[in-house]
Amino acid sequence: MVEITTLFILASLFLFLTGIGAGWIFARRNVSDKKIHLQVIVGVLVTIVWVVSIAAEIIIPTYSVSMLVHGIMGAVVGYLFSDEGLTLNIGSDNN
Amino acid sequence: MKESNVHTLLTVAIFVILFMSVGLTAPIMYVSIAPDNHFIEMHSFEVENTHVDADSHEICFNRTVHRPSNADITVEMLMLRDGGVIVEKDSFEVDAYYQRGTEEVIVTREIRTDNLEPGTYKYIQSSELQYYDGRATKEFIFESEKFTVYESKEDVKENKTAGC
Repeated sequence: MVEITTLFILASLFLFLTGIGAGWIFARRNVSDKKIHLQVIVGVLVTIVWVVSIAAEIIIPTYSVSMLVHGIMGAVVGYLFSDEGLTLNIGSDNN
Repeated sequence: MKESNVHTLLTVAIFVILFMSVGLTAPIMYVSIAPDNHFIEMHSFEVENTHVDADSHEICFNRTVHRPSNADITVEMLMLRDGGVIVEKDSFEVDAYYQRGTEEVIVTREIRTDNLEPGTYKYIQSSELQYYDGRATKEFIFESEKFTVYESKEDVKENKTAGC
């Protein structure tokens, strides 16, 4: 009988590797006009994960999500839903 | 900094604030909206009959705790005479009442009231529990079954109906 913690670690590892694989495939297929769609898909996926994490915090008594994690997920989704990537031009006038 | 970068920064800032606000308030909303039995489900709250000269009696609280609380729990107990007159007010820490589990908790409680008169009484147990690292609090009030205080010990033996 596999322990529940081991099961969670294996499931997390599997999802992590699946995410990397899927991201790699999407990135290789990526064409500039489809980039915006890819950004929206990733943004929606991160939002779904965030909603699931809130639901898990409510349902599972021992599980809690740090405010920092909420903030990071918000930053990622905000960045992906913005018009373009964040580029800081310090000390140059790049138009 | 380009204007579009300012827009991106603003979008990111708005999303960070939004996600953090929802993440903070969602569990608090759940605690305030969800019914009490999502947290603790009372099956029975019975009290042993007693007599006027008794020093203590047993209180049996049968419950299922679905979500335990880690904070120190102070239980406020009111002993009420039939008609709602408060006879005794006491507060004590009983962590076992709200620890995860389904087993019955039996507490022997000292009767501190002098000149306890024969009659029908009940207890009201009130406690405030903290959830989500103290971000949300919920008050629980449980009312016991009625019990009788008799004149003498013999009367208790003769009428032994209520109790644990």
